[in-house]
Amino acid sequence: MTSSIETLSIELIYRILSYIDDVTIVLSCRNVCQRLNSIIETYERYQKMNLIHLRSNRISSNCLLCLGNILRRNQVLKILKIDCVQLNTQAEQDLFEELLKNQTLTTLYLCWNRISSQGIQSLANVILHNQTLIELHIEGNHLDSEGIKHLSYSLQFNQTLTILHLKFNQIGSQNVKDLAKSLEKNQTLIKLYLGFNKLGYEGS
Amino acid sequence: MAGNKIKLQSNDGDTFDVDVEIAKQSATIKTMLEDLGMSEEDDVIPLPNVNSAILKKVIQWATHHKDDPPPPEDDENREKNLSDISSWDQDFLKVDQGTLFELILAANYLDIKGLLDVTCKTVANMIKGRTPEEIRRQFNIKNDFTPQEEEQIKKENEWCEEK
Repeated sequence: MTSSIETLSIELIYRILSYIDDVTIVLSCRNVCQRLNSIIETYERYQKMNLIHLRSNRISSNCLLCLGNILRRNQVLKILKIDCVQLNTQAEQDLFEELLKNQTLTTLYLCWNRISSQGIQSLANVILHNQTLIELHIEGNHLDSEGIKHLSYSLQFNQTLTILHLKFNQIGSQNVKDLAKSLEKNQTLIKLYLGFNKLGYEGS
Repeated sequence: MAGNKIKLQSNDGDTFDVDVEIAKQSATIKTMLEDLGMSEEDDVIPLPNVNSAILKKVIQWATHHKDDPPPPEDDENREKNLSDISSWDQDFLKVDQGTLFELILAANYLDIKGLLDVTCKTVANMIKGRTPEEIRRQFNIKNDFTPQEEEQIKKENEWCEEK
């Protein structure tokens, strides 16, 4: 029989995986075939993967993401960074649905993704129900008054978030008032970053 | 003992005279010689898992790397550095996939860590930046997911496909 990657032992596949970065394991190696999936699922580094960082260049070159899969199966993923990725509406909904079920992430970066108004609403729903997120970064998402209303509502009830980054959005002075009002009821948020918005004198 | 030679025999019967120090890059052969009491004068060391063509390549690699320092111990569960394949090794590994995987198996059997590392790195490089479908094509792997599983995978993937 001619040797091929399919004839290599599990230990040798592990050795090859040891030269591959986490994102490539998730994006490229998952869902090639049943055997490789089984091997990856027993691979210690995959099981212990606690940070995934997806950047625009990675997504655009690969076009694929099995993040839903890893969010469901990996019980130790603590930090998820999705930066500069233009997710379509369905993608946003699926991502936030997954995040709604997730109970391990503590830090979420969703910077410069142009999240839609509907997406922000779904994210607000995540904030409303999630009980593990401590740090949330949503810089640079054109977050407008409608979006901030949804976020403000959720922040009244959230009991875990301690750091919230809202820099480089479209937040105006009235939005800040809504936000401030909701934070009167919030007892956990310690740091709120609002730089590079449209706060004006009144909002500041 | 410098310059002493031993005979290595492939599974198809060919024998190769090899400097002992070069052959000892293989921990398997080193153990045979040192721990099991085989002497360099013994007739031949049979290597039943390696054919002649692959053994010739392994000896060529070991000869070129005979003066290398011993490779460091590693932890397979940590991500390793992929960038350091020498140009000689890159040329050496411009072979068909069957040969590349035979070399991995031989390096593993003979326990030649340096050769195992560089061959595995080469396969890792062939994987990087490819989609699962491209990897299947690259390595001629059959898509063995059921239509239902395929549908599920598509669903998982479609939310981040490029617009």
